Amino acid sequence: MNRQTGTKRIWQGLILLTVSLLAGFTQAAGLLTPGDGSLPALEIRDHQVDVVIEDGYAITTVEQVFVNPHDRDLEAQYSFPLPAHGTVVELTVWIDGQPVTGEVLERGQARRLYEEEKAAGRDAGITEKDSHKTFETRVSPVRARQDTRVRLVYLQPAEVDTGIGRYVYPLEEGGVDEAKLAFWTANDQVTGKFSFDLLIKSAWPVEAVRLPNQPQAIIQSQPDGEWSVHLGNRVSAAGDVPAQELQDDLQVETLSQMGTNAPVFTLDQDLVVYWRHQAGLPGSVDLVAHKPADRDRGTFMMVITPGDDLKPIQEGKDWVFVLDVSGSMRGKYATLVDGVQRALQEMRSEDHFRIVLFNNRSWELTPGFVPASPEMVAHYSQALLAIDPANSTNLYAGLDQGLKSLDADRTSALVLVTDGVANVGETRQRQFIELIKRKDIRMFTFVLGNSANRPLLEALARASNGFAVNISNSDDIVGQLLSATSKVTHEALHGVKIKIDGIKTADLTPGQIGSLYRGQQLVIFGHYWGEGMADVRLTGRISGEDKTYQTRFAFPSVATENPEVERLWAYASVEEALQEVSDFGEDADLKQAIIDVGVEYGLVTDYTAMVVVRNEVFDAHGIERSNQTRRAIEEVARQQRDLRPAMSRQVDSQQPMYSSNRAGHNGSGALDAWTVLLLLPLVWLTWRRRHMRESNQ
Amino acid sequence: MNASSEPVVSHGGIALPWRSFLLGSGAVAAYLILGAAPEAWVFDRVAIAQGEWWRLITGHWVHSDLTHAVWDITALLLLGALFEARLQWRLPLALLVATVGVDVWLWWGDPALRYYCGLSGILNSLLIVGLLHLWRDLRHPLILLTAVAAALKIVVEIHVGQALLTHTAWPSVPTVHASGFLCGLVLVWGIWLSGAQQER
Repeated sequence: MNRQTGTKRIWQGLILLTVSLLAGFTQAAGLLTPGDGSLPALEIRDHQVDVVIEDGYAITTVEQVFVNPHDRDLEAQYSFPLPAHGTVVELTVWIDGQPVTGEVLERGQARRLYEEEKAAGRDAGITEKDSHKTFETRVSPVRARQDTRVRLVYLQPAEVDTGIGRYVYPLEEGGVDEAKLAFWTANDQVTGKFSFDLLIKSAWPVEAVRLPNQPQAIIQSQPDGEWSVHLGNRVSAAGDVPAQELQDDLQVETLSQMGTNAPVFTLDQDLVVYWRHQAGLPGSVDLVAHKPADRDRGTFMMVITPGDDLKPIQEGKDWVFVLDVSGSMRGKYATLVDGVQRALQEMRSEDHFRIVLFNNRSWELTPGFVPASPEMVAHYSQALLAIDPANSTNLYAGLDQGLKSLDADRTSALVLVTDGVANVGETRQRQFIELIKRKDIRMFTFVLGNSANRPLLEALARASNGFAVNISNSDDIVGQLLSATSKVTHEALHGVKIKIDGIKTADLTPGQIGSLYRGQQLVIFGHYWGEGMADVRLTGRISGEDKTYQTRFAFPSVATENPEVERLWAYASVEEALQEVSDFGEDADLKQAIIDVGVEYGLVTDYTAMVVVRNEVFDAHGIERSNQTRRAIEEVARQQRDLRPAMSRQVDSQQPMYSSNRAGHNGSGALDAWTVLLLLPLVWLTWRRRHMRESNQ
Repeated sequence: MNASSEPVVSHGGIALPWRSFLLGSGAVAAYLILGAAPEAWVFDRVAIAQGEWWRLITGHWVHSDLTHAVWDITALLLLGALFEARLQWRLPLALLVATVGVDVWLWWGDPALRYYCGLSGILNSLLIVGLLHLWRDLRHPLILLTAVAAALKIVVEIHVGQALLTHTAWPSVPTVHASGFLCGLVLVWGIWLSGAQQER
C-alpha cells in the first residue's frame, strides 16, 4: 500500500466514524407542541414537496395541510431544519380559500404584526429563521375541526462536486438545541398524503440519479435528458400516484376519506438525491443572468467547473484528530471508538497521529504525536474506550489543544468531527478564526446533521484553506468518503482570485474565494452593467506555482429566464454579511444592510421575517406587495422554462477556460491500437507456424 | 506440451475461437441493447456495498462508449483467435481469476474510483497466460518481446495516467491494466507450479 492509498484508508475510517455518530439522531421536522401537554397537538395531513433543479439552483416548494381535530382554535408551529445555503422566499397561507403570499419585514415588525393579528383572531402566518438551525413557521388560527393550507418556497444553489450533484431535503434535526427539545415535542407524522417530486433539468448530460436510502423511489429519465424522482405514500392499482393527480385529489378529498390507503409517513429522515453527470465532460464556465430590458444593471451567477489538473500528493502527513465527546455524543461513543480504531489501523507506521478530545474542557489522549505502529494503535484504541462522554461542548478548547505541538517540517492536517455547537468557553467566531490562522494547517471538518453550527465550521475550514463536509444520516456515506478522499489526496488551487475585465461588475460574492479542492465548483454571484464581451481570469497557486485560467465571453443585454438569480445573489451577500457579524459582532450599519437586502429581495434572514396577513391588513399597514410581485414574475419564468428542454449555459465553449476534463469518479479499462498492434506479430507468427506444419503434412 | 501437441481446431486453416466469439458477441449485444455504461451493470462501489454483487462481473463486460467497446472487443477476439485453442479449459479459468483479481484491486487498491467498466483489465491477464502457452509451443523471441512490450506499455500508461491512443468517455485507469497483468503472472506461476508437480 503506498502512502496515498494509506491516506485514503484513513479517510475511509474517518467517514465510517462519522456515519456511526449520525446514528443517534432522532429529532425531526414537524408541528411543535409544548411538551407539558398544555396545548393539544395538531396534525399534518398532507405534505407535498416539489423540487426543480435547473440552471445551477434548486427551487423547493413545500405545500402542507395542517388539521385541527380539537374543539378550539389553535396555532400551528411548524419547524424544519435549515437547508444548506437556502432561504425562504415564499410563505403562502390560504385565507378564505384564497392564497395570500407573505411579505418580508424587519423581524420585530413582522412579529408584532403577526401577534396583533393572532390576538385579534384574524388569519396570519409568519416564517422566521432560528439562527443556523431551523425555519419556524407559525400559522394562526387553525380553526377548530378545520384545516389550513400553507405553502413554503425556498431557493438554494445546486451542489455539484466531482461530477455528482447532491440535493438534501432536510427533515432530521440534530438534537443540539437542548432548551428547545426540553420544551417542545414534534409531531412528525403525515397522516394523509405525502409526496416528494424532483425534476432535474440539466444541459450537461446526467447519467444516473439515486436516492440512497429510498429504494421505493420511482426514478425516470425522459427522452429530452430530464430526470424525475417520485416518492409517495399513495399507491393505486396502476402504481404510484403521479404528483398532479395528488394535487387534484387534494382539492376534493375530505379528512374522513384520508388514511384508508395512505400509510403514515414520518418526517424524520432527510431525503437525499444524487445525480451523476456523464464522465469526460470538459471543465467549463456557465453563466446564468437576469437583466430585464428596462434595467441597466443585471445580476449573474457564474459557475466555474474546473478541469482536473490537480495532481495526487505523494508526501505523508501528521494527523490530528479532534473529537467531540460532549454529552450529545453519549450513546454513540462505542461506535466512535470503533471508527477511530478503523482510521488508525489504516495508517502506515511512518505516519504520526494525535488524539485530542473535548467536551467542556479539552485534553490530549496521546503524549504529542505518536507513530501509527500496531502497538500504539491498539493502546490508544483501548484508551479511547475508557472515556465517558459527558458535559457541554467547548469546541475552542479542543481546537486550541489540537493546534499545539505541530511539526513545522511535516505536512499536518486536522480532522474535526462534531455534531454540535460551541456552547461553553470561547464561542466568538472571530476568536476561532484567529486561532486557526495561527498555524499553517489544513482543517477538514465533518459537520454532522442539520443543526450543527455550520456557518462557524464552514468559516473555520475556509480560514484554514480546508473544506467542510456536510453529512446527513441519509447520505451515501461511501460517496461522501470518495469525494473527501480525492480532495485530501490531490493538490489544491490556493489563493483563488477572479478578475473580470471589459464590463463593469460589482458586488461579487464570495468576496474572498480561498481554495478550490479537486472536484469543487466555484459559484460566483455579482452585478454587471451594460452588455458585451468580458475577459475572465481565474488565478491561484498550485504547490506554490502560479496558475492562470482565462476565457472571454459575452454578458447578455437582456435575460429574463432566471429572475431567481437576484435572490440567490442577495442571499449569498447576506450570508457574507452574517459572517462579518459573527466575526466582528453585530454592527448597526451591517444589520440595517441585511434588513434592507432582505426586505428588497424578499428573503427570510436572521433580521427579517416573512409575514402573511389578510390582504386588507397589508393595505391598512401600507405594506408594499413587492414579494408577491416578485413571486409572480418568478412563477411566469418558471412556467416558460417548463415548456422548453434544459438549455446550455456554457459560455466558454469558443474559448475554453480549461483544457482538461472535469474531475470524476469514473474509470474504465480501455485497450487501444497499441495493444492490437502488439498482437499482430503474434498472429503472423502462429499463422506462419500453422502454414509450415500444414506444408510438412 | 510442445509444438506437436498444439490442438488443431481449424476450419479452412483458421482456428475458430467460438468461446471468445460468444463472449465478444455478449459484449456487443450488451452495448447495442443496454447502451453505453448501463447504470445497472457497471461497477458501482456504492451499489455493490449495498448488495448488488453482480456488478463485480457485469462491470467488465459493458463499455462507456463505442470506441471503448470496439477496441476492447476487437482485442478479445484477437486474443481468442491466438490463444483459445491452446488454452482450452484455462481460458475460463483465466477470465475468472482475472475478474476476481481486478475486482480485488478496484475495491481495495483504488478506493477513490467509484465507477468502472470495461474488459481491458481481464484481457491483460488473458494476454499473459496466452503468451505463456504460446511460448511453450513456439519458443520464439517475438513472444518474449511482446510480453516485455505489453509490460512497458502499462508502465508508460501509468506514468502518463491514461491509455496511449484511446480517449474513452470514462477515462482509462492504467493501474487496472497493471492489476490484470499481475493476475496473469500469478496464474502463469500457478500453471507452471502445477506443471512442475505433474512432471515429478
